[in-house]
Amino acid sequence: MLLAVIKVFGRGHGAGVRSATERPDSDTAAPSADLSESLPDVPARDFSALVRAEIDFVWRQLRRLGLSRADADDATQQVFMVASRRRSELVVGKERSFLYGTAVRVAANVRRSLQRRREVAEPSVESPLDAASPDAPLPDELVERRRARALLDALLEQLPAELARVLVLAEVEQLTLAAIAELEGIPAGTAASRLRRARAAFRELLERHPASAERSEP
Amino acid sequence: MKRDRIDELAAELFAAAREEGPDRGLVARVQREADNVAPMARDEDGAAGRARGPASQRRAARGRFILAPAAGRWLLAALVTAAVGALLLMPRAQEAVMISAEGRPGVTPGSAGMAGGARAADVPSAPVGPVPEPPLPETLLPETLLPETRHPEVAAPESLRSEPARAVEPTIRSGEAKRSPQPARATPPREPAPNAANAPSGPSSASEPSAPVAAPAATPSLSSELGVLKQIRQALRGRDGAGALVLLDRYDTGEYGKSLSLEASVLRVEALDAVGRRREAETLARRFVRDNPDSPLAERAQSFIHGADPARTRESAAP
Repeated sequence: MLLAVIKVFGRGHGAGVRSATERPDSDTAAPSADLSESLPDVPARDFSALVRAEIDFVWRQLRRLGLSRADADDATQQVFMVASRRRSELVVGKERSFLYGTAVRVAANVRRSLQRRREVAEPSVESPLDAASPDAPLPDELVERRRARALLDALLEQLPAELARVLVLAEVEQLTLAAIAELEGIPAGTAASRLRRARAAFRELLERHPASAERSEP
Repeated sequence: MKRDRIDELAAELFAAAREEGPDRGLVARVQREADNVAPMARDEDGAAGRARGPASQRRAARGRFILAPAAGRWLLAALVTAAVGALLLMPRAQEAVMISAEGRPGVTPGSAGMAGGARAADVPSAPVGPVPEPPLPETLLPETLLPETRHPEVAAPESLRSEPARAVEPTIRSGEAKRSPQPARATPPREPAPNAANAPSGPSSASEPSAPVAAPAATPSLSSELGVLKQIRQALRGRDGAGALVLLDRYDTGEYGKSLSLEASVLRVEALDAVGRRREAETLARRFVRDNPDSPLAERAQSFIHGADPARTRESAAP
């Protein structure tokens, strides 16, 4: 009887692991076979490749989620550490979803802790040292872009978080609706309507902003 | 007009964001850090548990929290089953050994049968459990410890042996109820089953003479000493003074150690009293109180002086 109990326990546990890993698929249309079969640990070599392939994406998301460059650096490190710890859960082809979800969460945590310390007057303001890389653009351009990013962040800040995220994925990363839906873990229809609302709201904010008035009178 | 300019401005803002990237040093730093992190166990909960997309991540996390306690409940159920089984079987097996080891002159077969019946009633589900019997009584009761004082006609072992027959009775009945309910019901619970000797080895198999008996420990250990004293106490609680005396004789050889000899002395007082040798019990008790006036056991011994009261004896025998 005890053996039977242990057997049942073991089966239930295995089912739990499998359903947890399969769950993301239920959002996308693709019906998948037993994913636990295709869940080998990501080898170290592949993980390095993953870091190189996705680090820019992760970092940019963290920046647009309202973190300064320095905070985005730290948060990026955090995201990949989480991914490294949980290598066994990385599903081939879904690594970006994993990283994106982790980034959203890490960014929220960082912002919360920053707000708690009241150190975040303007999280998106870039310091002059930010552009110290050798292939940095000319100072004028640099200032222009920096101002542009600051404005973008200020506007995104005023949007509801889920709309801002969808807008960034669509306009900055230029991802398709299907990809956005997968990353956000929402149905494609929801992603489309969110993007529509986000664009409208963003335009409205931009119209009201003094920057657009500057632009309208050259 | 203005609409185009707004679009243009928006496009510029997004392009500026697109061009931004981390310093190249960050890649090396991240890789170094990630390599230093040991992979985590699958079921450990962490940030990535919710890192699959803001909406599906919450569902996944919720699912995990529902599943984890379910798994825990199974484990808990298994542990509780094992613990309950062990608790129920242990005292019975030990008592079975004690009763079969010694004849019980003061006990009539009828009362012994009742005791066995009561025990069987206490443990209705015991034979179903797969929990192995605790080996303690066998290891502590070598064959040589069971001298000629065993009386095969004493009803206690038989009544105990009949337990498995009665325990499997419901199963038999449920299977054969329609065909022949008579044979199963023909055996009243208190009467020894006629085919008891052929009964499959159940929890009372420890009382079978053929049961493998371990030799006493080569070197005396406190645990074996405690085990013997425990058996003596159990014998006394079962009003088996003779069995307790045999065990005490064995204990006095020093085979199991002597570190608890004071306790053994008091137990001997109780055993002597139990078998009706009151005078000897009182003498021994007086000697004990005289030699060990400060011992916490002296009070127990004292209760046997000036005419030991059987009721008090039983109370003090209980640990």
